[in-house]
Amino acid sequence: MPLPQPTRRDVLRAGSALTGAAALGACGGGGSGPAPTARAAPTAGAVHVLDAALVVEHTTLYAYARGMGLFGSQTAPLATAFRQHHLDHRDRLRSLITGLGGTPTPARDSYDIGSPPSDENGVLTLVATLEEEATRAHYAALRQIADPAILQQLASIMADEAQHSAALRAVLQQDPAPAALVTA
Amino acid sequence: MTRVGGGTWRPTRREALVGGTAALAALTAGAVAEGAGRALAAGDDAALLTTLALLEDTAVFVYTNVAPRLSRAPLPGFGQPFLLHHRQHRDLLLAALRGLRAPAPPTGQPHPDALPTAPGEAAAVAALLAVEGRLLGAQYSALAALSAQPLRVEVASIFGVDARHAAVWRAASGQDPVPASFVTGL
Repeated sequence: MPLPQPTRRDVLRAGSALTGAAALGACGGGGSGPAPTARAAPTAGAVHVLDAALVVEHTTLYAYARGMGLFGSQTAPLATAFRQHHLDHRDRLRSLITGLGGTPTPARDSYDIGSPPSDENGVLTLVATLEEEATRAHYAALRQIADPAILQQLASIMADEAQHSAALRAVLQQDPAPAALVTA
Repeated sequence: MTRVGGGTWRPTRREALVGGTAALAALTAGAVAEGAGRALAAGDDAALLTTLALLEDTAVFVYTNVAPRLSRAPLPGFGQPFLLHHRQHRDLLLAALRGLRAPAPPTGQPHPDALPTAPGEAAAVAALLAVEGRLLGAQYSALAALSAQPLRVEVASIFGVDARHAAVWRAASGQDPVPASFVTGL
């Protein structure tokens, strides 16, 4: 029986739903023990967390692909660049998952992104919302990662999504940095 | 980096720390708060937090002195809220230091070397972008060097917001607001 297609809410919920995974093996806690090596024992928890982040990237990429034709001449270069960034994030996450012994979830043909946008303002609002949600989802995910080097990678991606959000919110004449801290 | 089985990629902690050491060393060459350049080592959480707190304090100083120069809409509307963010970041880091029973560094000190020498808005924006860039580099490095997971998470939360600030100032100076796929500050 095929798995039901996750909704956007499902995807974004994944990060917080994985809170309990922090207790799994090397995925949980911090402490001042020995630095993890490149081939530290893979943990199902870390793979699961990174895979949830990967699905967020798949979803965001789908939205950009669906709306690319709606961006105007001023915003199309931003959208093109941001889509490429997401492709890079996807590839990095896939690589991290594989490096931990996991199997990355492949992209589906489609994702639930709500009502398809019909004009430039609509697509800008959609991707700005997705970028904001991706920032929060990645932050929720990195809280579950104990390996500092992997956490650093995920934070680097999270901050890039935050920059996308800021740039898009500025285009929409919204506050580009509405809070002092990223929260889940 | 470590490549495993046909191209998978995973950074080692050593690689992350090597990058961090370079970034932190670079901080000492720039206009940063005194004390921010003390020797740092992986696991020296108090030293790392001290560096980050002093850099946030430097940002507070720069914003306080430079934000009034912003005149082109919508830039004046960003100076005060971003200043408040940096104050909050500094205070959170100082609280984290107290949690470690480490001495708090002196804050509220002037950092004239971090101010632009040229007049005008463009120089102001460049100074703001420079201080945000130094913060991002130090935070990115600290993410791999801090030994305590809750501290890494707290720094990540700050890192994401300072990255937003940098995007705003890059756009204001006519640059690509998000020039790379990964934020490293390096």
